[in-house]
Amino acid sequence: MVADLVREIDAAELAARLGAPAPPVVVDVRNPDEHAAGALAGAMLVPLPDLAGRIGSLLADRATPVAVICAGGVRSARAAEQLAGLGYTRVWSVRGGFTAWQKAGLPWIVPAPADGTAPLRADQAERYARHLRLPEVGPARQRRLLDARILCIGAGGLGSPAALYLAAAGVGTLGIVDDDRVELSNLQRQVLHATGRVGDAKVTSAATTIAALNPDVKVVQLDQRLVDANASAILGDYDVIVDGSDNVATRYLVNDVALALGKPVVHAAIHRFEGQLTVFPAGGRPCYRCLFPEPPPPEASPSCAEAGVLGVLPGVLGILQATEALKLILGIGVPLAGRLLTYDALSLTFSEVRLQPDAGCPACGRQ
Amino acid sequence: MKVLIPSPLLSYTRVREVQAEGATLGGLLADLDRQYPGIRFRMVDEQDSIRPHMRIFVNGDQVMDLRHPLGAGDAVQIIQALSGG
Repeated sequence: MVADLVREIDAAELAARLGAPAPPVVVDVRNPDEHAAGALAGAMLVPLPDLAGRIGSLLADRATPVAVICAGGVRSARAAEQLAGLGYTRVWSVRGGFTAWQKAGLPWIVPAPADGTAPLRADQAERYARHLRLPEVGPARQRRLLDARILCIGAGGLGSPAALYLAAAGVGTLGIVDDDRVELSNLQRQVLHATGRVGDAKVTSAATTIAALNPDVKVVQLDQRLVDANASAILGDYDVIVDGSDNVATRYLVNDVALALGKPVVHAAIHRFEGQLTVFPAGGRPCYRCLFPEPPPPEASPSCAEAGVLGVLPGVLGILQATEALKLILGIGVPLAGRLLTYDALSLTFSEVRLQPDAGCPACGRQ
Repeated sequence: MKVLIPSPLLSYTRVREVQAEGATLGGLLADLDRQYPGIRFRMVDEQDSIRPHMRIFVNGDQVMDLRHPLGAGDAVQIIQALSGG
């Protein structure tokens, strides 16, 4: 219940008062996480639990007009009562709070992160609003995503969903290395591409799709095969490597070069209805060679073209790769390092085994 | 006990989850081979070493030694390196 001497105003009236002479001071009584995800420009953040103790030094003149805002109008009503009790004479509580302010289409900003990084633009604050609501992401870590560089090895079955979700999440730079052209038979699963782009370079097709999805993302088109001669230079430019390649030779190359460069690899591989996923951490231990010291003979490792694959299977695995890559950039959660996840689509079961570093591993064992 | 078969070996078993018995891992693989002739050689070479692109896990932990003892309640998962992407 709002006390008699505290009046509620709606968002439009607050906007009008802020544009008039002698505008009120806006006091935002939400917690810092909520404020960091979006707030009125110039609002003073004083979380409700701190209000009584801090407001006297922040607003010495008790005749100052004050508009109190929270998320929905409940905390601000309580805060306004506290202010009235402390002797403030011109106090308003904003009905519906910041939610109503946003719904009314009134202007707001994402406050600059406390660590001094650049604030998000208003369109970015809206695009990434659901991330900004998460305490585990918020504006500072969204900025980290925008500054991040992730390399997708392959723009095929795994790389397509991985790149799409990484782009949607706002990963600022996506390198995509693939020397293939789009084929009609790819489109059953490779959702980055389109019927009208059959015959185009996959990296060009990928860049077209990603540009339409999120213009924040810079796509580095690497229309080449990853080989010994270029692998260090290519991988060296990125923070996280997402391995969605379609052959074991490339997988060993990615492992060895990433190990030497200290880059984490988010690994996935598929066959028919089954997929495998793990993270080889920066510096290895365990690495891909610890798990599989030698490649299978060619007849034991058919490609998707030879063996067939359920189109949606790489979708599941590629999105899990994107999830792990985002977690690594954000520094949240527990990465799938030292664990191998297997997924069977036919029984819809996931299972997990523990991976051991191999002391005799030729790639990482002598480090 | 329960054994999970990797996708590339389903041509032998048809189903992913099969039952096999053995007091050791070697015994279990022999029983699998009785049921699905030829499957053991896909996992183990002429020197009785587990092939380097095949890994065998008992209750989630990797086992390299065919003499590793098994009990009725153990769960075995065989994993093969996959290449597709």
